[in-house]
Amino acid sequence: MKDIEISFFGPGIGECIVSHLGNNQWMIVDSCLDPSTRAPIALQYLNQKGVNVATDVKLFLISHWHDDHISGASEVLRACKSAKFVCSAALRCNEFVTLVSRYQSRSMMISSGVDEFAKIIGELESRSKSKKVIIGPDTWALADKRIFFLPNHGIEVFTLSPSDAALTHSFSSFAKLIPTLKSTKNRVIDLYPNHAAVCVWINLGKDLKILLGADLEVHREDSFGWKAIFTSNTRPAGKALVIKVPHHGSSNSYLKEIWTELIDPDPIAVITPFTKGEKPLPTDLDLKNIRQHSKRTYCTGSRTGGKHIKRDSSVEKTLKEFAKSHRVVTGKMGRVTVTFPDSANITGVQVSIQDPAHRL
Amino acid sequence: MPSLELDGVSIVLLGLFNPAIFQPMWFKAHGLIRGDEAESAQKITVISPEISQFKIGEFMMEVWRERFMASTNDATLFQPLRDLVIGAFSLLEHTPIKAIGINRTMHFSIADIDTLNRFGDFLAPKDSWKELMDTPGLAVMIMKYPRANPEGEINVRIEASQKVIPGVYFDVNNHYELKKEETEVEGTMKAINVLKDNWEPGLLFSLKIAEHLLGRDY
Amino acid sequence: MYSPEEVRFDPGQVSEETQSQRQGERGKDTDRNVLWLGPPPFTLHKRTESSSISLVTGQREPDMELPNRIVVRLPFPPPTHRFKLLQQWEGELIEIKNEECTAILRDMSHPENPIEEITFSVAEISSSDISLAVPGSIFYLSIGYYDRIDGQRLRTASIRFRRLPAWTMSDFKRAEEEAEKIKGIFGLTKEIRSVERY
Repeated sequence: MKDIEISFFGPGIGECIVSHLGNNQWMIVDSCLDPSTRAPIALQYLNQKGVNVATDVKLFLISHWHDDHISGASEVLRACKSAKFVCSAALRCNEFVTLVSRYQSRSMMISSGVDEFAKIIGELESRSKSKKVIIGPDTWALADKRIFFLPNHGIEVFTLSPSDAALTHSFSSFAKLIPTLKSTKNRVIDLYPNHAAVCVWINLGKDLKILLGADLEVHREDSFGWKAIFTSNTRPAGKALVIKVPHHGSSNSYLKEIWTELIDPDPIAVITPFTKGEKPLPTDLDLKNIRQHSKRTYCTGSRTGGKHIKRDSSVEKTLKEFAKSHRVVTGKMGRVTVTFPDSANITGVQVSIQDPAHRL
Repeated sequence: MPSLELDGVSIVLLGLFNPAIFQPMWFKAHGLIRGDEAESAQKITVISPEISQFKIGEFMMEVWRERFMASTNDATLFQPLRDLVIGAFSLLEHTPIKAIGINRTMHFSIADIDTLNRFGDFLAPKDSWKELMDTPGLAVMIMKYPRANPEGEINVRIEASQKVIPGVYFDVNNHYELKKEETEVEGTMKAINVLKDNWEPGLLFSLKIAEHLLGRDY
Repeated sequence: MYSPEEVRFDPGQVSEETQSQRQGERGKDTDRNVLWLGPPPFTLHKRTESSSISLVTGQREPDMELPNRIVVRLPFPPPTHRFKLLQQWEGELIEIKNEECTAILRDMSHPENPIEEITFSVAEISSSDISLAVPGSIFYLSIGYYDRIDGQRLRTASIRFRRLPAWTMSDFKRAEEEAEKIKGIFGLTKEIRSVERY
């Protein structure tokens, strides 16, 4: 397969990016489940394309640690036996280890918030047993670090975060989530902002660059978030033609300098919506910010969630009386696919979408 | 499709227990039940070293030296019942438990006596019996289904309902054997893991059995 | 023949109904093999059966040895109500703000349905459960018909928060074993850097 292809999936909670880097080298970033099949969308998509996931997926990166963002990741890791596994260096600390171990070890928690990461650890343990040597994550993601390089094919993958300051800050953030003696057993809540998030930069050949923004946000300090990336003088050079807009397009992740200095003037921007919570993302204001930089903006799914579920009239009536608002959060799985004939020909780009993905 | 009128669930553990421990105030002290439920459970039947039997709200508990049973007939409390048992035995982690049963009892209403009789004929055809007797009728049917993983069996008991008339009663017992050679701690944790992993699928399958049979043509 | 064995009960633990019932029966030779309670302090009596004549052989039956304690399993009080469940969800509270709760719901009645989100008033939570209502807490939301003992039927939605024992030192100690395994996989075994607090 010669084409360069980047496919973005996002049904409302969670996202997944599946990329063909050329020469049958595939990369997967994050994981989410197809709501209709409950299967990891990355494996489903690659199986449909006839890709041998056991041999051809070379890199699997998770940019986040919470269950809601990496559903099915352990299954992806198990299937992609040849893939290097990459996760944030911010997770490599006693605090995160304590957090996961307490919520997993006989804690009687059903749905702890770190179930998926615990399963990933289980998969790494299996890999260790089969190879008779302890195998952890193959690479710990850090700012301005090259994690994958195929010089003959012109493929380079970098991680742009977390920064050193974000690393240190994450340790104490995780510590705050560790349960204390005699406290009530509840599900682990997600951390906002996510300082441990991993942004990815991909160089394909001389001219084609791609930025995957993960959940990274803007912080008032230069040493954190997008400001740290912008001010870094060791990051890869160039401007990305394709961008996965960070943090579902939220204004918290918008930094004008990123768009003017790191992104092509006429980029293809893809947003994965976030339909949970009081403020679904992206808002109309968020879109206004993004569209001043990109005339080719796409969204992978419905911004308002899924179709209403029809239930017994007594149930509907009671729910209406009980709840102030009620909606379906995850909709159908949509897809935005950006394709280049090859890395040298970036003018022949094509974008295809699968409903409910749409152009904004 | 016949309507499910009465629904109940029970968790039965076989092992070695100290009935005297199981009192409403013990559950309250560990935050496993609401305070007002514990207060209203003053009207208990008996607590002794031999047997402890009481009702907390709509949870019913009966503990003998070798058998623990917690049950409810309130469908809103099926999940809380599981949480209650998980909570109790996570605190009593050294209790040796050798088997666990997750049981669902269901009473379905049937249109009329004729339909009920036809359902009985569908389950157990009477032709051979009618050669020997005039009006044979099915009293009780029990079907067993061995399960390899996890080890155990499913027992389904079907009879005419005594509470919903005319109606059919299903008693589905999901039995799990916990390995005898396991240590005491493992025994408790295995029981808890059965409740974590098999509760919802087990209850759904119990309902499916009943609906599958009642949904057939008869 | 009676062989009294005293077992002390706390009288307060036995319902008034049972007490009066038993006191009325005291001295009455009721069914065989029945354990019955006398007046406080309650005593348990063991009976042995005298010989009886077999209806089949006409011969005297040998003395029957009865077990030490034979317990009558008293019936549970009847239910005070019935609930016909129509729909149930497991919810996770994600936010409480301005007396309003926002929660994610997972459909337990039809697990194939997608995730939903709901907001409702804090007033819907019972006073017994309100202290449990924090972000990350799990609850069960049930909708159905509540049939009162007087025959009145009410259509209702009810919330009940999940209760598990609080975190204990045993939980933490068990987690240490898991933590060592993860540290090995993460290459952290020689590094001690911790801000753990209990």
